[in-house]
Amino acid sequence: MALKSEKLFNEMAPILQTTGADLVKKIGAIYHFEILAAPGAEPVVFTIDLKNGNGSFAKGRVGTADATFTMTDDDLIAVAQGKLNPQVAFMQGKMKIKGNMAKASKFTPDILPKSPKL
Amino acid sequence: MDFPNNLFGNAACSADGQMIQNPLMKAMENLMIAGQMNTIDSQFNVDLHDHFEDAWEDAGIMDPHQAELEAQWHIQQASNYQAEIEDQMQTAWENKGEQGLEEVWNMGKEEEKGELEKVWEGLTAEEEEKFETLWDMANPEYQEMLVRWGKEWEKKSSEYAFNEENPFLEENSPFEAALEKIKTGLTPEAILLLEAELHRNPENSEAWAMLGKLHAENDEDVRAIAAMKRGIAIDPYNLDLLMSLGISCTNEYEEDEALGYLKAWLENHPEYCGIQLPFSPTKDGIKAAFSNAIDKNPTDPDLFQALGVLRFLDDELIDAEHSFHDALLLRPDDAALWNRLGASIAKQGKWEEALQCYYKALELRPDYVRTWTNIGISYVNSKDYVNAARYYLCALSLNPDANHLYNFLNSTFVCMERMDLILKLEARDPLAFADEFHIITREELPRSSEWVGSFIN
Repeated sequence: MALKSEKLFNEMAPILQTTGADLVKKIGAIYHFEILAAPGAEPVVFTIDLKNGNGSFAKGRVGTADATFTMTDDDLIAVAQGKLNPQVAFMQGKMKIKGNMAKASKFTPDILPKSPKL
Repeated sequence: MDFPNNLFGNAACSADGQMIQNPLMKAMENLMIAGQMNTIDSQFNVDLHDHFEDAWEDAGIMDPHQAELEAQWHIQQASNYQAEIEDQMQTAWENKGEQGLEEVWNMGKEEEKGELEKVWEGLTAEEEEKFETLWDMANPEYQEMLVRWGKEWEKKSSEYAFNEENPFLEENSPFEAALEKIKTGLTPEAILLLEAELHRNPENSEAWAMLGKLHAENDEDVRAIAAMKRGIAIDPYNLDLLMSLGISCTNEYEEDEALGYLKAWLENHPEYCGIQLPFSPTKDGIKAAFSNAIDKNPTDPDLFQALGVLRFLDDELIDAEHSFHDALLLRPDDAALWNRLGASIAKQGKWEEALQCYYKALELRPDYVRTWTNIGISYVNSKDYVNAARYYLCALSLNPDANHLYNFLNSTFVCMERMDLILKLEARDPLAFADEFHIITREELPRSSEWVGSFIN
């Protein structure tokens, strides 16, 4: 079964059409997300490019990332849904960060898609 | 390599179990907060350097080690550069006033950013590795604590959490009173009354079902699921509960569970239980079964709704749109269906087209917090941040417990570059923003006797 995060990232496309250019201007970084189905599992990697064009998403480790975020599937969804603050996630060790910290510090939940609920 | 022992000492818990902040982690936290603020207020460029500098000091990484000295040197350079910029600003202010100030500041910003990045990029591979090793070593104690806390937290969050304070605990007939409150649009009281009922009669599955539905409509799927699962444990074949759970699980990306509940709905429905389903059907198998049921009975809006949910789950949004539309032809006054139609349209990227459906849902049920939030989401995705904030605030005014909306507002205010509004969020009072945003309160909503569609069918 696909990760919840994969479903989440797949929602990015229509959102990037309107907000992508602004995000690229604001963030200017390529992020890799290493998502674990459960703590200790083998991570699945997703690439969010917010450096080029209107931004894009790809499954897999594409290119070199400015920063890499590692967290569980549930925690990424929680951040996207506003239930977990990224600073808190970081402080509690739920989100690990590698790479250029200046670029990493630009991460905001804005990057993650917000979709309507049934 | 010899690392300062105080890092581990600081990783310990205090007597009451509170986590004492590891200075390195605190530094990283500050860095992240400052980094976020960096994007909206260049004043914080200054603090970013300070935080980083303090961080290295606090972490006790002052060993006379070459690599560390070099890192310190980089920081100092950045700080010196900062001081130089400030001098220039002072001179510019004296000579050219505000305009001069801006010129210098803007010039400084770009180069300054570069300096900070140099600090990071300037770290040699060895330094980076050491930082990461430090990080990992500082973590194991935390990891253990977090795993322990995590298990307790998971147990807690999937259980239904009753409100701690409930003025209706002595109420005579709380269940009947709750029904009245629902009819008159007083959702917060209805929730408390249902909880009062359930304290006394935890086996009242109908009360659990209603409580779950109220929470879902209040944009709190997690709480809704917890309540509905209590209900389903008592009454496993309750169609209402099965459908509601299917929908809330879909919202929470719990795909397998959602499929399970919708399949169970069909299997336990007196009219459709004859439809063949393989033991472990695929998503397509379940969809096909619902299509078969529709052929059998094309006048049941719930069948179309369920098919809509399945298609939504599978990102077949145009098809989902058709299903919800068909359901509405059969049950046009169902606010939830209008919301679902809107969501299917919005998720295709048609943020504004969806608004028509959302407004219709609110016309039928003005306190439908889920829809207020969905409208906010449409606005955010259309870059209309002021309206997005307004609708999130209205949602909060109607349901003060929807805490995730504070994080949504934070993001929105960052996009608006309004530090002052972000700071105002700390008080957790949506009405504090009423001077700038037109916020609706429950009292201002049309009287519920005017509501056409109540969720009690």
